[in-house]
Amino acid sequence: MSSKIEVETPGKGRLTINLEACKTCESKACTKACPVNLIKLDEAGLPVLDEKTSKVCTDCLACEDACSLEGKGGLTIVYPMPELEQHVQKLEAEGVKVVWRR
Amino acid sequence: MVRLYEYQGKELFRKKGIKTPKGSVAKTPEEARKIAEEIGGKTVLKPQILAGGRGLAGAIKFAESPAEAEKAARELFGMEVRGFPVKEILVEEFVPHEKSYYLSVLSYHGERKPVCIVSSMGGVEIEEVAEKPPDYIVQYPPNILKGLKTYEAYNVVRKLPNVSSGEVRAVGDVLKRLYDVYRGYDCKLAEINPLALTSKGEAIALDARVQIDDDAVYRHPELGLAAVEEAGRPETELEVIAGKINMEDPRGVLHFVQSDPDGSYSKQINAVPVGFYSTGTGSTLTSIDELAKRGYFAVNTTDTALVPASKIYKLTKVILSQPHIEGFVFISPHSSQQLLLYARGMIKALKELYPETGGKPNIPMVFCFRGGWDKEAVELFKKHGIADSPLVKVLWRVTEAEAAEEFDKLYRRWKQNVK
Repeated sequence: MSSKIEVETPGKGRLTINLEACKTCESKACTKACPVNLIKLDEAGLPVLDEKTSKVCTDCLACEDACSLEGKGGLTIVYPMPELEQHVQKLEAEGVKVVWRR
Repeated sequence: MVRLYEYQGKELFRKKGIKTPKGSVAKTPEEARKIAEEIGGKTVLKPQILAGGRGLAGAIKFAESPAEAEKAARELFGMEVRGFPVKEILVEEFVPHEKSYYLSVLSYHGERKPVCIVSSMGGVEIEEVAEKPPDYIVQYPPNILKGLKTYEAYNVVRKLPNVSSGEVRAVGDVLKRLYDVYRGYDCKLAEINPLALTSKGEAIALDARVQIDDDAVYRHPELGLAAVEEAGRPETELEVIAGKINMEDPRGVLHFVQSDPDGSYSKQINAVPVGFYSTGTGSTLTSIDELAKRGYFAVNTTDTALVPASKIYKLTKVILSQPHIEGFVFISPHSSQQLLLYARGMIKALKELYPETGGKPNIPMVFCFRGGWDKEAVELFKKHGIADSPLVKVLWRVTEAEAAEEFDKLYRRWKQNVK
């Protein structure tokens, strides 16, 4: 069995659950946080994502937020913004740094 | 709304069977010459900019030969027309014509339906026709559920004075097709001015003005458009990036416009440039005024409604990527939106941009929540430890003036410490 679950959300985010971290998590806060009940627990007590996730998820970030505060940080959602990264790199090549890179 | 360049509008016209002059887009004077050679004969050179009145600004040139076309293109490429630098020129065959029509289909808010407008006095200043001989303009609101039938289009044109039966058919046919463009591409406006009637009785669209509803742009990825607000100047890179957020995920409403992209205006008025995030026009304007009174200039405006937290996260990153900002202010209106989503989105952005401090920023920031889930939003900032930062103030149910005052205090303290 894979130790990772990965799914794309409707907001083009990559939702990843690292099940190794979940094994040590007592709270399983993500399951309670999801307002549309997409995260459930399997027989072993590990999170399982509903197959509807890629369509029904509201990208509300509640699961990731709950996991970071009460869980073990195993659940992350990454929203790639390659154009913004390129823009910031271009500015830096011109000698201009955005505030959060100073 | 998203406005299309003339050549893009004409592409849509051709797809629906409206005739346009032969031609294509040149990016260099040499290309202009080549296109003119292919066309043969007299050509017209039209700069592709997102503003009207090109003819009145002297930016439309005529060329008798390819060499003249190259010369005219060389002049145009160095020009700035109505604030837009000329980067592309549409080189087209010159179409001699006997009569010009004005045709448009637009979303008319007064009637809450599309309206077709046709005039047999098309040309440069169509607005004046409406004032002078009103007989020469006909309006018709078709039933959006049934669409515009060909016979209805003919009847619209027939209402104009001195129109031959041949004209009724030629112009009516184009009007029907223009309506198809309007509906097929979710337009707010599809306009031809002028529609030329040649001596052979052919109707040819010499210009194209097409605006697409910005909430529908995501439905037309085939057009390859950036869903960018029209600001009367070329769009900035960050505005294009913000437009992409909507293209990727059309849920809810998201707007982002830079009012001082390079910080030059803030410098000119001796104000401190700040990144700004607010929702709702009333609160946004009040907040901008309150900040301005205290010497701060909001270098961008935003609006988001009913968006997922992920879009708030993305937009926060865009706002904070304006390099010249010396602060950030978020003020919600007395909102019925779930402000907890705003808190989650902004916290995620801060934690990602400032990983070493767990989201605590290096410039002063004020977050003011008022409305649905506002207590929870404030609590979340505390839980994540960001509210403890000396550079952050998280406020609950205060006025715009109080929020601006708090930002002013933070900023002054920060500046003193930096010194």
